[in-house]
Amino acid sequence: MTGMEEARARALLEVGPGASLEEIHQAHQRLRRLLGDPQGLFLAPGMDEFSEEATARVLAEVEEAFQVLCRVHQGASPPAPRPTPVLEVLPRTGVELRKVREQMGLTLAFLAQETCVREDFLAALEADDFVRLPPVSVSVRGFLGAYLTALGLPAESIAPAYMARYEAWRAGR
Amino acid sequence: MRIWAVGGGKGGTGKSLVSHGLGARLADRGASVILVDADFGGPNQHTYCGLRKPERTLGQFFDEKVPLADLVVETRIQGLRLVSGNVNAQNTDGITFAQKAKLFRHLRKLPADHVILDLGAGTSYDVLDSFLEADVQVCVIAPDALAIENVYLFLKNVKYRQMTRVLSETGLRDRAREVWKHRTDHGIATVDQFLDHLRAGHPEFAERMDGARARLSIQLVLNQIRDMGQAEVGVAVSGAIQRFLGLPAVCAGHVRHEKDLWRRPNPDTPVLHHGAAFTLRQDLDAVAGAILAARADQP
Repeated sequence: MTGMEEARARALLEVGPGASLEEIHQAHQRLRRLLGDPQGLFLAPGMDEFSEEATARVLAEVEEAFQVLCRVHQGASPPAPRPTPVLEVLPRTGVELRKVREQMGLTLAFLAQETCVREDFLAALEADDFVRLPPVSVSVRGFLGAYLTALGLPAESIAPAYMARYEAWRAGR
Repeated sequence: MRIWAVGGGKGGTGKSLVSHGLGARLADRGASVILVDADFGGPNQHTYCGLRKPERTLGQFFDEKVPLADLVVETRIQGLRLVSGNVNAQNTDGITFAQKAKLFRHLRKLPADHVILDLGAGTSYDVLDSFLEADVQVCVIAPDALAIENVYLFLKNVKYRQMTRVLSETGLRDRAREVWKHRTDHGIATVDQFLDHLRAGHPEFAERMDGARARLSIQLVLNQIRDMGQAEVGVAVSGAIQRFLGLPAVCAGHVRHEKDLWRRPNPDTPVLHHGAAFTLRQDLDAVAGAILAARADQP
């Protein structure tokens, strides 16, 4: 069904020849998230080049590239794309946030790269281990915001409650 | 010697800051750098450098035929020299193609490792041609929808300008006009199909276009980010430039917003050389390093 070459597929997903299946998965998920949002900040729907047809074509190419690279890695059909979890209740604690991340199939190492926040700080956020975080509220808020944004979660709804717990912990020290 | 052009379409995204910062950071790495303020609409590189009134300006190169090398002045930053923009000119529009070509010939002769052109806003032919002529093409964006849309428009104009220049060089402008006029007869609906049609019929055009495209390598700099979550925008936009506009682009990095940038001790202090500019220096150094690494394999 496809004539796409591996090199082209790698270029489309922006993954190198040494990329693991996990990295290919993550690149695919990320592109689907970025391109699948018509309100995405980086699209320009007013321009012909960014028309609905063009976006659909690009998404189809990304999908095909993913299939090609999965076949290269596994010699079999690719696994079904992991859907972004539908959240009935917003995660509030670090443990709940970790569960969401794990459901999305994202590693902490990947998020550290995405957010430019050190992996041990992200782990501390997920463990509610406030003592391992920098003793500055603004830094913690920044880390949390970057983490939530990278997961595609609404930071404005989740961060205030988390920060309130952090501030309460600080006040009680 | 390499010529860097810093453009990006929209005003206010920080092209001048990024031009200055790249120059200062390259100089700090030991390179000899000349900044050229080619922002004819709003020259202010002298202010970034902590110089109050430029004695000599680029305008004198065009108006009085002063050699470009004689317009270069020292700044307070070691290794960084400046050709100031024309702060007192009323109108600097309408530089001819011949004048631009002459400017680039003289830029290439300047005694420096890097020449950095601050192109200013807009998509005039002056800006587009300078961008296309440069060895390193830097586009500055901010993480907002207007700046991003404008950079796409800017690059679309770059793409079209490149095409029309190659059509002129190959003597195909009239032929191209005819094809475009009767495009429905040729089954052409988009500019890319138009290009494919011309390529198929004119191998010399295809060859020149390939050569011109190979020289294009856009380095995107995401400026003014206020939280690290916004850093993703740079990678997303460079990906969109590749996928939707078909142009080679990479994200060279981001620069965090610094609200106290201009709270320097006195006007003679170069803007990046006081305490509040620490994160800016750090980020610009990373961007300069990424661009140098990306271009290391280029001739």
